[in-house]
Amino acid sequence: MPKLVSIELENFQTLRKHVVIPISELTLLFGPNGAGKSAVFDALTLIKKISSNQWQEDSSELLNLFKRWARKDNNVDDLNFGIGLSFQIPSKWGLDNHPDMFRLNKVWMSSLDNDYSNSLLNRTFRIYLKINRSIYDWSFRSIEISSDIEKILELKNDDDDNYLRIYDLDWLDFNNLRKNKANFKIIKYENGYYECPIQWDGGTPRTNQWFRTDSFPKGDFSERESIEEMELIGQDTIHFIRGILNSEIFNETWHLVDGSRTVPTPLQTIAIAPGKIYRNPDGEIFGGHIIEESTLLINLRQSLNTQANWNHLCKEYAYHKSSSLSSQEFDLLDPIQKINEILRDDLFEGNGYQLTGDVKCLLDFDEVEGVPDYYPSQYPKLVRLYLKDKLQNSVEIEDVGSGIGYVLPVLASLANEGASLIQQPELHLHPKLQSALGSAIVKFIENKTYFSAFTIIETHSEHILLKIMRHVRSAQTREKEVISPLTFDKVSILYFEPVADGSTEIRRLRLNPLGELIDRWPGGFFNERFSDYFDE
Amino acid sequence: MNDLVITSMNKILAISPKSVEKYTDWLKIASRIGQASGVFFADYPKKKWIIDFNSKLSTLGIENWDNWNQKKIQEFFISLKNQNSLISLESPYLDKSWESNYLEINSERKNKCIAIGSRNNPEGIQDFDKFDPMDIYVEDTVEKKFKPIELVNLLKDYFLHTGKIAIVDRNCYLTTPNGQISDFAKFIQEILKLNSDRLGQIIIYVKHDPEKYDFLKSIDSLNQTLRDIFSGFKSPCWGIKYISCIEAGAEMDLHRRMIVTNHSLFLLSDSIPGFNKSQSITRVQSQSAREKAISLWIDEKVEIEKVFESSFLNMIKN
Repeated sequence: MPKLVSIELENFQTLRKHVVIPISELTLLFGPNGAGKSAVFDALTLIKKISSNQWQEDSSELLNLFKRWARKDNNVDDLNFGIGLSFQIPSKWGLDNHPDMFRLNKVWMSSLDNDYSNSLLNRTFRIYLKINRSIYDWSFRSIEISSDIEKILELKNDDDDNYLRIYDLDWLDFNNLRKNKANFKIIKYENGYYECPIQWDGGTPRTNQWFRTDSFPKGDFSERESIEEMELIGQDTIHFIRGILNSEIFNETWHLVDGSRTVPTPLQTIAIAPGKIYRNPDGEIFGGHIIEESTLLINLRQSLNTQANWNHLCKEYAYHKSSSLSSQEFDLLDPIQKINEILRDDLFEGNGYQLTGDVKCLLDFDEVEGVPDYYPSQYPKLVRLYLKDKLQNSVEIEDVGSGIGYVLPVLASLANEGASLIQQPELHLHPKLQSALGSAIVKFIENKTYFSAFTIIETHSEHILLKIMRHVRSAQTREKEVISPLTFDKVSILYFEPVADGSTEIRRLRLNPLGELIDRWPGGFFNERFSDYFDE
Repeated sequence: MNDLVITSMNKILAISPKSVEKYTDWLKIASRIGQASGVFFADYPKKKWIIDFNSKLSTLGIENWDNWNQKKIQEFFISLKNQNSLISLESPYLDKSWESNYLEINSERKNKCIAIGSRNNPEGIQDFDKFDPMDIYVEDTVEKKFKPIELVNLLKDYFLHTGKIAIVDRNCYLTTPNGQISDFAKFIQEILKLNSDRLGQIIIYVKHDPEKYDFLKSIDSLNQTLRDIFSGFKSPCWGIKYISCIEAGAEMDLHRRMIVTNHSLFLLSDSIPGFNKSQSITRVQSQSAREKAISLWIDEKVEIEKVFESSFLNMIKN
């Protein structure tokens, strides 16, 4: 799976200047209240939404976000902002099952038959969008796509400068253009790129066309045909990048544990893990009945699962518990087991709280008559999470003190193999527990197995930071104990510093192998506690 | 004494955790420790010192120490730690008195130390009654034309106790005009030989002069020159950043010849290659001047026109 490497923002919320925000295995966001730390989460939400198909029919929600998050200095009539990201394709990436494989085939020249590794694998790709509100509506005013070694596409949609440039790369399918190149009068070829004019007629972009291709250019038939061909290559290139964002980077595991969370209610600790049963053409139950189609289940779903990370935790638990994995394999994957280890060893050592899951089939057993019982993983399931104390008494999460209730959603997010996005994990925790949570964060991160895994945490806690710094210092000693020790270069500490003009600048504060900051903490390091430094 | 230690730009205060008994003892040292004063504080035995000191402090009854209570004293040491002013004496600590252990430290290290033992210690190390606060006064100027290794040796403790070093000098060229490796490059090589895990980055600001120095003719030749000169050395973990600039305005004047660390500022009377026969180096005591320089050059807030910027990183130890 590709890995998010950085986010770029400009004129976005409190960020005025163009800034590249590095995303590492662990990214920590610090800064005073109101400095705009949440901009990072909001930017990811926005890019996810832009790259999705959710605004195909109704773009009002997306446009509201544009309006809300574009930086407003003086002229509210001329709102514009930039947003983008870079991602790295791993050196081994199974493309065969990629849902946008057909896009890849269209863009990459006979990709599967040829060696695409040089142009795709182990490369970092960047997409950057400038979005602007004109008298007509919001639109993409520019789109840039490049890799770490070459430009791929540039689109400019300004009032007086409209063009689409596609760089002449070996792996882009320019066969048609090349063949007819001599006939082209409108398409320019210079400086290594093809350029054709784009006519902009205003209006909101659509999900399937980020720039319009239906404004007929002047010229004879062959010229129009050539431009249309080039526009299609442009659209396909954009769609391919969008496909990766959609299906690989912003997958269903992306959930923010927000800073306004509350202790999960009993209802919120229940989730439905989707499954399906099958019905054959004779009517025998065997296939075709999908949980999402059931009104009862949809209603149930709406009343449950309000905490998305709980939902994900339950689904994983239910899936693995009823799958054909051996108990040993399940132990490696079981997210609840991971959380229990942390509860037992790091956070609540004394009282022995352990999370347990009770998995029940949700369907009426009459319905599942005839379904082979050796396919339990395909039944829709109701998963109930509750705690057991050291005397093995079942207790509700609500009843065991709010600390554990606030911290469990954080642990649920960290147990996720992919992305963990967390605001203020220290909420309502005693300083000692904050420090222990720092250790837990490192333990989770060091044992994530996915290449694409990353964790972003917005926090005010010096206890968490100091504990993480201490673990960075001892990273080398854990080489044989964990999958990937959290070394100094895998941590991005970003400080959001308000500046005089009311905007915010982001400074990266780097660590050395001793886990010490090499860059100075703006305004001096905050009020550390004595024991964080001098306790053995 | 090592011949290379010409003189010192710093001292190390090493005190027994049981040495402080009175408020007047504490006052003799409290305002004089820190990189800014040129006085590092020995964390000996490492990390245990502060625990033993606290334990002693809690028996003293310090209610009458004006504003100094135990918590404030603890914060004082945290602040020293944050300013990288605690220094390890890199010597084992055995189960005997602090004074006996101290006497076992190698003499080269001890030469920089001012030691204070507990009262009436049988080892004869001075106690606070005999200690003269002027003993930890450090001269802020040294006059000598230094070879690269001598200059690094002079500032070694500062270089080993900083996250970054910035060198601001219009003449910090990696080569001589005829293409030979410069004394400045040798000076950087000597810093790299210190092999500090703590040092994260060296930033070098130089005047852009491609007419005289071929390696500044293109970014590729700059990259190649950095590789040629430093590839045999392990770089700081975030590299050596070499920035060629157009000088403009008083604040960005590269004539000033500075060595800046995260906590200290040194002014040089001549460039590191040394064009004149005389050379002097001054540790700047003024907090505002120091803070301003650190903010401009270490935090990289200087608004100077950069022509080329290249970073060299090599984490493989040769």
